[in-house]
Amino acid sequence: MYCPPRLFAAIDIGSYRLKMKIVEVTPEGRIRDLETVDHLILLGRDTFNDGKLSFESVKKTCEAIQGFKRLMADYGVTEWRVVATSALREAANRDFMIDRIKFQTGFDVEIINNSQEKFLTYKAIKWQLMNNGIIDISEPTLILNIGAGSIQLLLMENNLLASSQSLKLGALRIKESIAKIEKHTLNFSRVLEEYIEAHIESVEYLKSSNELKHFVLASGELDYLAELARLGVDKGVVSLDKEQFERIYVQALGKTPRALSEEYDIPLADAELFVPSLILIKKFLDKTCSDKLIIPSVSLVDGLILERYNDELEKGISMDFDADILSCVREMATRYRTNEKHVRYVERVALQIFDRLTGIHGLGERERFILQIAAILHDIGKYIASDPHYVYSYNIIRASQIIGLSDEELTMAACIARYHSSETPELGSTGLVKLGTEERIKAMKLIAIIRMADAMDTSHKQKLSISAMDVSGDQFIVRVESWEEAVLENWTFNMKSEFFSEVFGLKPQMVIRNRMVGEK
Amino acid sequence: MERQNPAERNGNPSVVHTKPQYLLNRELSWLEFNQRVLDEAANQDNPLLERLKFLAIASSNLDEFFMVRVGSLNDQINAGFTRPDATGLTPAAQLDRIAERTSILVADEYALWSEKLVPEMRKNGIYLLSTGELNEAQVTYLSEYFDSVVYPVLTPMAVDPGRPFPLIHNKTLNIGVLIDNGGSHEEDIFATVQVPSVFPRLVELKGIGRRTFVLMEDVISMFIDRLYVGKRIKAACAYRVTRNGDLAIDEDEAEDLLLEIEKSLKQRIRGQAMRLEVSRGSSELLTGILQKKLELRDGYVFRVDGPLDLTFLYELYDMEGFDEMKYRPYTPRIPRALADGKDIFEAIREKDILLHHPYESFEPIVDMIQKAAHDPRVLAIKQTLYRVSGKSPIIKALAEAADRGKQVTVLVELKARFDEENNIHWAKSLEKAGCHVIYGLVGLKTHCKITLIVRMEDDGINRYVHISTGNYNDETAKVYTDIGLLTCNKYIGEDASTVFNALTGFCERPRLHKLVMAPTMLRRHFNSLIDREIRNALAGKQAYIKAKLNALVDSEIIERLYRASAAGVQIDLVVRGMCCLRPGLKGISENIRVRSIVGRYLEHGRIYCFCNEGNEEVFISSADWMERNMDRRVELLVPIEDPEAKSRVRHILEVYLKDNVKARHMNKDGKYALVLPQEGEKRLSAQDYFMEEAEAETFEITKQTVQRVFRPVSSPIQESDSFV
Repeated sequence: MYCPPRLFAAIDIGSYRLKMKIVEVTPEGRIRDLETVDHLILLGRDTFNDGKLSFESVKKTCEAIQGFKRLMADYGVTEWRVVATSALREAANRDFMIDRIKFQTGFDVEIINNSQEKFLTYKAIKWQLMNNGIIDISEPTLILNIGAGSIQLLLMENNLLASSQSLKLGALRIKESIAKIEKHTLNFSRVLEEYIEAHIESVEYLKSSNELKHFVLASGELDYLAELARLGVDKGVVSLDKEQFERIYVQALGKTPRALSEEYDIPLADAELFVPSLILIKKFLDKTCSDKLIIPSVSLVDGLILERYNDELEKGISMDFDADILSCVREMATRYRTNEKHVRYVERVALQIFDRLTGIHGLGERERFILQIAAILHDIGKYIASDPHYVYSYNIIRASQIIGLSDEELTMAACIARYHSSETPELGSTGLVKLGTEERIKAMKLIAIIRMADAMDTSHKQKLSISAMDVSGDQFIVRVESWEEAVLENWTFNMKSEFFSEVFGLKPQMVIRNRMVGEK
Repeated sequence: MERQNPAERNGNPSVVHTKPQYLLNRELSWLEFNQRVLDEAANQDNPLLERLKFLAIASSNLDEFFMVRVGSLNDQINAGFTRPDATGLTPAAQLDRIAERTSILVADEYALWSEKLVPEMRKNGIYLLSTGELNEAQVTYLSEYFDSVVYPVLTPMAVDPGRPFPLIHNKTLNIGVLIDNGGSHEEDIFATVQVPSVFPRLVELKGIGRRTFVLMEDVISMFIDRLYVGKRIKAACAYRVTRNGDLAIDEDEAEDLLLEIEKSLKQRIRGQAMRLEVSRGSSELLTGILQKKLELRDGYVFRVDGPLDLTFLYELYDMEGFDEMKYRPYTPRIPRALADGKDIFEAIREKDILLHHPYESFEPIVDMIQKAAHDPRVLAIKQTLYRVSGKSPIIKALAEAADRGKQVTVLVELKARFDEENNIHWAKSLEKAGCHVIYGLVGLKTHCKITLIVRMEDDGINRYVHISTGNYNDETAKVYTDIGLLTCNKYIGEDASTVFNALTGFCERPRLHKLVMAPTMLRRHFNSLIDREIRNALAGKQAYIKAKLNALVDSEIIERLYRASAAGVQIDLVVRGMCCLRPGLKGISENIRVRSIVGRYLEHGRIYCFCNEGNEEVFISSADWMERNMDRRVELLVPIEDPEAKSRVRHILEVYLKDNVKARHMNKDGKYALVLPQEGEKRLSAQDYFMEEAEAETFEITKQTVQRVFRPVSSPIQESDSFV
């Protein structure tokens, strides 16, 4: 049967430019680009300087989005997603802007945080690198993603993300932060260098420079970086020799933005960010042993498209990106020296309970995923002190900006860790109040689950293995087997079951079959 | 780094090739072009009425030349600009040379008129009588005609110290009168009356020939005393003023381009006077007053031996019944790929379609847009419109498409010279119909001709593109030679979208797969194409450049072509109009040959062909090799890659290079001489050849049978317009 291709538009209201990409997705699961358009509007200049967006910028943005809408109509686009990043996120008057866009175009603008933004871009990068095969990403690879507002440093290993760090050191932000002192110095690029060095001191690389085999540069909305590499273009992914880069670097440092704009045929506004970006690249490139820069020409909008259609793509093309987040989270757990066996146990059992209660808890895949993350991280606070470790866990998670999680999701994960242990939460408890009503209920359900899972390994000896779980009447019966006495577990289980009953209306009961006894 | 820095791109001024003596002044070169048009009026191989039409074209061309080019030089002088041009002439010196050359041209023009064409007309029964030749009956008739028809429309105006000198409108014909005030010369009263433009210039009479006429200004002159009853008229003469018509808009301040152009249209009438024309033998006193009052430059008063403003010959040409004195009618053909009413989208999907106008009909393009307007699968239509006839079926189709809920985006170039009034009107009507109309770009004129149709088909979105060297004007498409390409090549389709995104402001720096766009990339691209030929020639490989264009003025390109010639690149150029390059200079341009073709159809299409070591690259383009095309306009260069289409374009170019009937060869001094057939060589006129070829190749007659192919395009200005 004929099934028309679907058309999707991804719009990114960036700090530096507005971008839209329209794609067509065929029934066979192939993505075809139809349009990529952009508008240079320096929202970041307003926000990073004044904390809010100027009248002029708001007007220009609304006009541009109306233009995008017109272009969408040219193709009969029916599905879209509009996201906004740091400039809008940090602007005091963002809600007015969002309301105006909604009123004028009918689009709901979704504000995403830095981790989400960078993860979306990461998806597109990984997808391209995997499908392109230009480098072997099973080898340790450093990915630098330079945005207008912030940069993200990603480490990949074994085809998965191993860590991510974010710094508020985007090219536009650097430029705007220290532009005022430009007139006081003749060697502005030196000042820039010092500024950047001071800010990247705390970065942890996890690997020594001779272990980091590849260097990947993502320029996101700063398209001119791809421009720089246009010198050696090759389908989608471009690579630039380190030597060649260094030549450009040395030359560019001595040039005015105007001269650069002419030389590379890029807008002046882009050229102004050229030098700060080059310094950033140089600093991080030197932390690797790569002899070239790999520059995939992808940006946030590609990530949005991939996120929307990943599940429907042709086999072999689609990817499991959750694995990347988990890999990062596990790396984090290792860094905080958690008890791996215990964590694995709690993670497994929590997910088993979650799955068994499908239809009862009414939660979905994403909540399961948050539970899993929280399970992995629930004990990291012990790195600081064992009592009250759950408070430390909560604080660490909240401060960690886990890649790919929204602010709400991060808070949820933190709350789950906060209340996995002795303290029993109420709707008004610390952390939970930061969540919306719906999220709060979800968090409570996940907390109830992790508490049971954690209780089942109170001794950290993984004594119990689940043989069955039954729901009968208002009973939730967990049948387990053990080779040892499990008095402690049983006691904790019963103690924590009250909260579970409150949340689910089911009374948990653990039935232990002692294999020792059984064999006798 | 592969990119060139701007300093290198702009050429090194000290390079020997840019010396002033190696270039020709563009204005003088343009006058040579008009001389070639005049030569066609003199050419006895052309039918009589066609010769008269060439005379009218030469005349209206010259009008525009004064309005635009002379006007612009005057602006420069007024602005205190005295820097010499590339040939070392200051604006003032250029104006002197122009006056000199024009007076010869005008003398030629009128000698041809009175010595050759008037007798020829009489031989064929067309009489244009002077007042002295009228018989009594005719005078009686005209007297009545004057009183009852003409007189009520006339507005005589007198000038005296209490009244300012009246505004004499651009290009109107007037009669100046000197009235005796009873005192000395100084006290004579100057009066003037405009010859009404609502009547035809040619007043028909009963006479001995097939048709007998007298000119309207002569009729008014005969009875001029009836306008100034009781006064003694000392002298009366017809005169005509041409004013500066260059449209100067301060775009920095022009928030709304539309408003600004409407304003400047009103100003145009009042531009500074550039030229005064009077009949030879007119009162010197009267001429003196006019010259003084209109503040005319020396040498810019032209005394002509015959009627002023020969564009009235268009009227004659348009009259019924002279068919045997015109070219044989030719009906544009429908190309084979589209014959038998084949679905145009299907045909394009099969293969690229090349259209060579006017040998092939423009009808398919109009059809395509009309079809698109009704096609439920069509989602969007985007088009650039530059000089479209107001009654254009294309405009109608676009409005209809918008009405049917299609997304229609139209870029209307308001800065298209002299058509603005026309453009503003229909642009507004398109807007009303729901089209998204963009009124040009600040600082750039959109000159590319491109249409994009987005269609949702079974396999997804497909884009159909038409790119042409000629405007979307179904009228001019019958008389201008142009080349258009219909394609659904994915890369060109994407490029077309990008081009429109750039035009609608959604694209900071357009990156294109196949197309090359001015002002961003075109110059660089031409430079690199020429440079490649230079490299190949220096490496001892085959290297040549063949091109057909309308004007070659850009000094950077000329310099590069000189370098190419010096390196041994063989260069053959067909340049219809201005050519500032001097071919055949020893050591400079020995390998460059330039020819020009002026014929029945206005040569308009641009073709560029580069040897590329035998792997030829062939392009069509909207751009000439002029600074304005490279730097101040949005233009497109389109590679022709489909093998069949490519060989066809190559064939067309070769035929032009073989023309030995209408082609004129340019010598190093900028003069032209006919290329004559060598002994044993067959006569070949490219335009005739293409007509015959089309008739033999193609099959179905156009739906509408056009009775006369050669109708002037809505107004003489519009037709002659792109000559300058």
